[in-house]
Amino acid sequence: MNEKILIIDDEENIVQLLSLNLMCEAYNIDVAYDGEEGLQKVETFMPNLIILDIRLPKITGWEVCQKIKENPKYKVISVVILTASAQRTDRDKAFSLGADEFLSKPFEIKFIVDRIKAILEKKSKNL
Amino acid sequence: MIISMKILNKLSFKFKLISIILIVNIVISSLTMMLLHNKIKKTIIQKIGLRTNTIVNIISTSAKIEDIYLLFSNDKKQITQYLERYSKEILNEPEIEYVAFYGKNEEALSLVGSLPDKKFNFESDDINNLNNSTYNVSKDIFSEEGNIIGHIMVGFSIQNIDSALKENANISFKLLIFSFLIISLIIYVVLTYFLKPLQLLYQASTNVVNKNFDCYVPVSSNDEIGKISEQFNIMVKELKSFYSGLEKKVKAATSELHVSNKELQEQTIKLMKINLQLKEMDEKKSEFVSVVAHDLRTPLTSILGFAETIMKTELKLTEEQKSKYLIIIQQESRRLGRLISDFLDLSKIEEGRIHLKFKKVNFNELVERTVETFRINNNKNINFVIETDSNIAEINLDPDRISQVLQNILSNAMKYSPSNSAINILLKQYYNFVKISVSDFGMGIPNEEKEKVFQKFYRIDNDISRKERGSGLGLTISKAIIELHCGRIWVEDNIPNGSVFIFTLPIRNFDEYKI
Repeated sequence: MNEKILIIDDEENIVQLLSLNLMCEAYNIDVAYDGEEGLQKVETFMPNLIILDIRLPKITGWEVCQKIKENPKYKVISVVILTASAQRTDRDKAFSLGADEFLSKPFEIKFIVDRIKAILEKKSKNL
Repeated sequence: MIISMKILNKLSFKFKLISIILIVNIVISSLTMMLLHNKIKKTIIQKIGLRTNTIVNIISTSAKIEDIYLLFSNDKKQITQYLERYSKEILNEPEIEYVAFYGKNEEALSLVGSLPDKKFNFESDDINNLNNSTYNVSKDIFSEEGNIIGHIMVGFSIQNIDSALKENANISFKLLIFSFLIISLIIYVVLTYFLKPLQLLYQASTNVVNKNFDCYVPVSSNDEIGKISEQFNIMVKELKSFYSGLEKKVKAATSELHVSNKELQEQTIKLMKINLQLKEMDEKKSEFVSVVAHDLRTPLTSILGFAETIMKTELKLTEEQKSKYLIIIQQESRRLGRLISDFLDLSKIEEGRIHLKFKKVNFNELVERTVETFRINNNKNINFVIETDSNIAEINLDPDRISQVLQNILSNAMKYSPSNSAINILLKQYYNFVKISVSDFGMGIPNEEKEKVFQKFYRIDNDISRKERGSGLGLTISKAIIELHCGRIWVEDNIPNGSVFIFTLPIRNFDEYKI
């Protein structure tokens, strides 16, 4: 069964980069370019994992993360926060909101892909 | 000893002076009187001695004892009768107490008068040791040949003399006491008179202590007290001026203190405000830095990411895809470069370090050149139209920076214009300034955001801007540059839709412009 990943980031290049590299790992990818669109797609796409940027138009990544983690329906979804502002406070905030992982830009593609694979494998084992 | 010192301290000056004078007086007078008294007594007694001797000589001589013996041919009884008769005559003199005749063998011949009790020794009393009231004088009676034929003793009463002397001493003493009292009184009165200035001095001093400086002591004499009074007056005057001076100084100092206190308070408030401002600035700076870091990382992510992707052979990318990604890398690198320039510009502006290089420039040409670069890279097929007065003067400006402003406005216009639309650039010269307006037919800017667009990092959130996102600093930097040229920049609505970005530049003499 192919796992589904939702990428929410307003930078088109980043979205393209991530989806390209994840698709060839046989994941199903969907994308959203802002927070509102992202939440809609969570509902419709029901991903296993969300890659979430913080700097989003309309509503911030923090809000999206909070909304997802508050909703018991989305409990099984892993949330990976991927952001260019890698301050300590952001890291703490991410985990306090229930994020499963906090990754920073710029990144090595290989590193990101491996991390995501690891998280999804762990999740599937636990289930 | 201490008690007597205490008592001494409490007595008044007058009293002390009078007491000392009196004591000295008494001691000297008494001593003198005593010495005098003794001397007088001695002299008198000596004289008495002499006199009585003379008298006894006369008595014994006039008795004519020798003749008597011959007359009465040694008939003792008749001699005694005669001598007794003779003695009684002598005894009429009040001073003589007794007369006693003795024969040559010390037998008593005639004893008349009040005789002393004790046994005789045939010696006169010592003149100097006169203790009783009778002075006994003894004399030998000699014959013509010089043989002792008998003795005579006469007793003299000296009681009167003694009592006279004593009375004299008494009177003298009483006189002395009286004179002492008079002296005391006189001294007292005189002292009181002379010491009156001291009393005044004392009163004046009391006034000064009570801070009444208008009391002066009358200077009535030129002696020590007068001099003290004069000095006192001078001193009081000095004190008065000093004191009032001091009061003034204290008042002045106090009011100065008030003023400087107020100033200090104001300063403190100012400093507190500045402190707050500095804190705010500091926060803003930290925020700025984190925003910058974030914005720089984003294109970097694309560059690294796509480079890595291209190198992943297992993806089996087509040449077309690879070229596409290489272009993205190129674009993002350029974007990174622009961002860095923008950040540097902004930092210079914020610290006031922008240096403009002014030149006299043909404005038309500058505009033409800038627009031309956009015409070349025209992937949206936009029609750039320049409308201008041909006679626009040469303007003093920094050509690179003004070109930068124009580029910023034009790229914004392009970003927000739909494809195949037009962008109009209008140049117009007025009396002392030139105005350039760039109009687009994009979605326009709502009124509440017309000023915000010039703020740092302000980006209008919409789909179109997403792909070619700038730093959000372009208009901020442009505004700073225009204002450094003493111009103005703003945005208006274009009819029927879109925005018109307008800026003005003053036309000035070269010399007026030195910055």
